[in-house]
Amino acid sequence: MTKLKFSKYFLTIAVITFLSILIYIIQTSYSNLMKDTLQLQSDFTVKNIDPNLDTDTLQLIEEKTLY
Amino acid sequence: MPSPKNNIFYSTTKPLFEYLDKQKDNQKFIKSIEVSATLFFISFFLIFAIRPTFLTISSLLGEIKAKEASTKLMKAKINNLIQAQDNFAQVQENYSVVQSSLPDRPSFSMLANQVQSSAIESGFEISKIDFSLTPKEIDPKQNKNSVLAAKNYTINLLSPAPFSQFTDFVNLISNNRRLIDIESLSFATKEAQQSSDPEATPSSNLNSNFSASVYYWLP
Repeated sequence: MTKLKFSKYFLTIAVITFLSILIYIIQTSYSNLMKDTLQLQSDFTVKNIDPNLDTDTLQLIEEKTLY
Repeated sequence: MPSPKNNIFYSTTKPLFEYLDKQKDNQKFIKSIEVSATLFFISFFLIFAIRPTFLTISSLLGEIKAKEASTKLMKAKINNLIQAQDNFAQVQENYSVVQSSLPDRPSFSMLANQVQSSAIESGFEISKIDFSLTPKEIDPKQNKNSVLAAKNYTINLLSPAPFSQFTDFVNLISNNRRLIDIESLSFATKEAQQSSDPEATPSSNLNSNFSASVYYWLP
């Protein structure tokens, strides 16, 4: 009976260890996969620019007097 | 009370059943130990063989994905830059207008000339011009998204101009093309002079003070 109890505990620990390691590997792999993409999003060099020039402001400046 | 026949049967079969029970327990035990050992072995294998492989694969895949996304973004940015260049070529002749409003250097002399001519047009003379090179702090919220590094310096004017002429001067400065942020205007009477010259009008005994921030940018 004690032998059976011991084997049950052993099996439970084995299952928990296996699942924990599996989850840990999946989580680390996913974070590795997304790391570069997230870095790219915060990168200033790839930020898009607006090609339209604000000509309204230009007109506003032209209306002012130049001394 | 059991019969002696039954008793003999029971005494001969009991050890057999006990033996069978023990065997069953033993098999269960061996099976569970086998499964546990297999799981432990797989866990060990996961840590030392699968984990590094998965980490390398996911890193490489992530890098490839990021590079592809970066290429797309850069292509879009280059296209926008080309379009912006075309748009700029169309308004390039107006660049001097921008330059006169927000020059790429402090241009102290230009500002002094502008202020002086505005004062002359308003009909008075400036007695003192001070340039303070300590920049006024620009609100970081406003300046956060700006690509240009806008700088500024402060100008202080002192003049004995009459009130009406001085307000004309302020109007002219407000309509000036140069980016000037008027910070304060103050007027004070010349009490000392008033006592020595009783015929002087209140307007002529006024000391006007004008303070403003002037902007430029550093390319």
